[in-house]
Amino acid sequence: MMDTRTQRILYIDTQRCMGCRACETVCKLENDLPAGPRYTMVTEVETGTGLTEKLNFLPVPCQHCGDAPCVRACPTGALYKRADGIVLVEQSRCIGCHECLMACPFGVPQFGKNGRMTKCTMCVHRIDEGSLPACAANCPAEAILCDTPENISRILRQRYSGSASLYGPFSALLQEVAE
Amino acid sequence: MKRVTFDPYRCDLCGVCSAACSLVKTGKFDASQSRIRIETAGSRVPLRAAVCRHCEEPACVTACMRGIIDQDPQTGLVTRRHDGCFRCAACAVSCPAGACVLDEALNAFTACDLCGGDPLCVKVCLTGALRFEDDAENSAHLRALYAEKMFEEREELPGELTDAQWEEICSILNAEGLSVAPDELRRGCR
Amino acid sequence: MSEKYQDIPWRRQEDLDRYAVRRNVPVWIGGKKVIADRVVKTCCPHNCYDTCGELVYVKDEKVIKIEGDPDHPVTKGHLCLKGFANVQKINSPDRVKYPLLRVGERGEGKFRRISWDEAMDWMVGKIQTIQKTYGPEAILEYCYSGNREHMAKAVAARLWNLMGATKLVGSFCLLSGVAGSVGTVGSQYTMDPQIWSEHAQTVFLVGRNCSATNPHIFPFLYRAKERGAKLIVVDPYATGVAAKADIHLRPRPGTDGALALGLIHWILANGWEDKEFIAEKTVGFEELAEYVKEWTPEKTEQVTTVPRAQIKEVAELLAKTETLFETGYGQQRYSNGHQVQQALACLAAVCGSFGKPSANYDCISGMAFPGVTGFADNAAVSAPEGADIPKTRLVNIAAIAKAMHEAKEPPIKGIISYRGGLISQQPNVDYTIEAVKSLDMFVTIEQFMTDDTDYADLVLPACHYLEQYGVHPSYWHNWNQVLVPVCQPPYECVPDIEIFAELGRRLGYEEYFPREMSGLDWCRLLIGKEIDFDACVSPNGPVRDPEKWCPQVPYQEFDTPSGKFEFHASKLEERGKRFPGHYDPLPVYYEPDESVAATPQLAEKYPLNIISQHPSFRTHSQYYNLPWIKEIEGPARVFLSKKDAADRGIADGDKVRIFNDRGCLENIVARVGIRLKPGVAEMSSGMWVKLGGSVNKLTKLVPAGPRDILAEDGILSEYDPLLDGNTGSYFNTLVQIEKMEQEG
Repeated sequence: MMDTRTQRILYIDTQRCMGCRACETVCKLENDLPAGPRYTMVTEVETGTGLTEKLNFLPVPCQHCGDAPCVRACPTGALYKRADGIVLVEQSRCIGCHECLMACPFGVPQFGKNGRMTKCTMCVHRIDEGSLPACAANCPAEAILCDTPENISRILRQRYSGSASLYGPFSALLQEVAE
Repeated sequence: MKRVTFDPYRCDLCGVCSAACSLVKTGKFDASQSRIRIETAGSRVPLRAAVCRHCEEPACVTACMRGIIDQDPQTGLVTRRHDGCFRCAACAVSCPAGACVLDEALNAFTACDLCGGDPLCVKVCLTGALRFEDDAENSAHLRALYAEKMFEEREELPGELTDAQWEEICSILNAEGLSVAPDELRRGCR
Repeated sequence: MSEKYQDIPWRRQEDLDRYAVRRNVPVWIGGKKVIADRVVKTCCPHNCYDTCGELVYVKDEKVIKIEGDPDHPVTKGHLCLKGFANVQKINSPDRVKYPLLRVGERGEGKFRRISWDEAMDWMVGKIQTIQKTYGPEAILEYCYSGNREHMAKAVAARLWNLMGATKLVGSFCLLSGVAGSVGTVGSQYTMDPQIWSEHAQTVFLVGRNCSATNPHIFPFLYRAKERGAKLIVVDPYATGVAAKADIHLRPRPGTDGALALGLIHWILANGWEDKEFIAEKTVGFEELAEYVKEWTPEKTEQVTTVPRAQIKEVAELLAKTETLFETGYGQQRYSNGHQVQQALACLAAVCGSFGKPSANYDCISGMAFPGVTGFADNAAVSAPEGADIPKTRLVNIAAIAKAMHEAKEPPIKGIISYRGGLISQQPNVDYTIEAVKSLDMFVTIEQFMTDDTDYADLVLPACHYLEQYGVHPSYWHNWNQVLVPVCQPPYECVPDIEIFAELGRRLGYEEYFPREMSGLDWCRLLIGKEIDFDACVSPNGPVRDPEKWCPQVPYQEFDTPSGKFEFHASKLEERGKRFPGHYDPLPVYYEPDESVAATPQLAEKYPLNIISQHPSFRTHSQYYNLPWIKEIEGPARVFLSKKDAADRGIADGDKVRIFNDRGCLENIVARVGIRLKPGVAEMSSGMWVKLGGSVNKLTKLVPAGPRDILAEDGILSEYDPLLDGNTGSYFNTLVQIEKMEQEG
């Protein structure tokens, strides 16, 4: 089993994603995809009432799960986890049974014109060259991070440690303690 | 193509889908004859729906010794002729979805035929757990569900069906020429 | 050379390899490595704040990939969704490939292919006939911001000047706000985002949907926020940036000016104003103070529907902290648009938010109109030395349909249209179509068969912006990259500059359109005097525009008659003595001319105020036809509040009809949610008329801004773009929405 501490993951900083959808077309271009399969897709969710009403955005690329349900569900072994944890598909083995889509809670598996499963590869070709996946490299809001969980946690702490507004209730509590 | 898809979060395991399916296909309530079965983890956690996915490259078609399972080259629909099936179960064993059913009346293995393009199980599923949609819709739907969970805006999960809902299902069945009383249906779902 | 390339004798042949940043570059396409012939640096000239630096990969004279230019200090190698979709756009099989001459009726869209020679002869013949029959002023161009770069427009202007054609002036997008801003502040500047993001304590962002039109502001907003700054967003619509705001003010559409007055009132009532700044750097403060006395929080709440508690809270924040004012253009697309901007500028002055790294007022950089400010030497291009250039009448683009209907001496008979959708983007589509039908000549230079081409007599194959030269200094971040062609134009597409030069030569102006003049030479002539030109041309660039034109920390002084910030806008007052309209020296609030409050009787019939934001999916009407974009956007949608939907029995996803006296849209998908407050609906602009989604079927031709150009039928003899204003007041539109019956 892959060590989840050292596996690279795609993390979405939802505090930052603002729904511009650039990740969707940069992904299409990078992976040379026609309209149809969507390796990533930004979903908008409305929350709150009255003065707290707001929009939220969540791009959903493949999560490359540690114990991936799609890999377990695949009856032909077309789906597999690479040594570094990236979940990939060998299309020639796929029979288009859709078990992976049934198993994936994120709706990630896509099906092109040939009916075979295809999906986000974390831009494995770029990863192998030491660069970031196209969506993470391009994100104008710098909301898509691709790194190990530990490094992502460090980046988030750097981003938000100085900002009282983002941790409103928490910082108020800290202040109370300080007083 | 459109397929029967399943959202486990919305399923309340009422059993209406299997009951309606067996009723329309065999004329009686018998979950073992239903072309759709909801599989659970343990006894009360809905997990997946075993129903024919009409695969791109169907294992059943390859497995069938008699050559009576066909795939329509245009629509991709997997169809069966039942005469000549000698119940070798090769289709059932090879099916990745576990969707093949041994029909007692036909004395042959069979599977979901999407009711000719308007599946009854989807019509009677009032919780919205079963849907009839294409890949893009299914994927978008699942992604939206995940996002809603992320922002804690997921709609309330369905509880038990109300009396009015049972009646509504009966009227849907009636419209299909399947005359059932609510009590009868409830019993059939158990 | 690609098979697609076809030779046209007069189209310039150039070695584009000299613009290569690198040659023979390996690049990933669909998981496979391809060797691109060259990578060229250019920028995106679409009408957007960001003017992104781009690296374009070309193989066999075909664009295969686009990336952001990582050396660009503001856009930092990031592009928006449209930036990448350009690969699909430039290579689209649907592009107009050859000149097409109409064979069917106007509107039928039936054409036959002709050669460029035939096309040119046809145009020359038509133009000369119209000139002879009606006079030279019967010819007019239609041009806007599809490709917003300034070079081809200046070359075309040279031709119109020589021909004595009617000249197109103004804007239907932002000039009314600019008039309000210039009237009070003088010359317009913006502060580099790198500066304010490190110093501001509050960012006050008005009428700008950044996630669609200004995505590169986000890292700077986040930097400010992560330093602890508060973000306040004013927008009736719950936008992506409003989702990141600490406080989101949602005024009734068209009342942002009233909101600003209410904020000023509360600041003055509490004595929080920047007294030192007001004493030293402003004039007319007492007058304003007197006027805003009536704008109590109670009255402001009544007019704007913003809760008074929010008004008080925000006023305190703005005045007591170092506030950066970032104003967009949404708030001024109402008939009172200039007043809104005037009031916002006054609010910034009351807070002392001018001329500090931490606190400034950004409306638009003067670089938006380099020809007007003088950065671009437009006269050198458009009015060549020695030429006899007659003074002609002017037509304001914000009322072009009106002018086309009403012009008499002479009537407008010939229009050459490029870089703009006349039919889809002008308000009141049906009125525009009627005007177009009465033309003797309607030529469109287009990349695709749009709403306009259907009504055209002649369609000419246009170049994508990546296939031609251009000059587009950003109006937000002040960095400059000259646009160069990255690849040869495909088929028989010709760059706009060359179309006008060749047309000029064939009309007898050979000496003014020398064949040896390349696009780059034209660009050098336009801006070469003010900037180190070669440093902005690929493989170099981008370069920051000189301090003289856009100081890093602007507004150390004000370029107004008094040399100070003018609460009492004397220039507007002077102008008002000469022209009809709303030239009020003070930001006196008045209602937009069509609103629930201004036209209550109409509102009984049509109770919803529909606004039309610019979505991220399109630049106005462009990109709408691309499969990638269509897939993301889905069918035409209208957003409604939960209350309005419930009142009409409309559920999320239902098909609805939207209508008023001007037009009707059907089969629009209703999206019900929290994005809008009751009484407001939203449908994004730019969808095509022939595809059934153009919100401009409903909008009204009422130009905003101080000058009432409708009184002059949009035909002017004199015009000052920076003071007369004019914007289409697209957002003060009242409609009714009803559910459509299900079929079957």
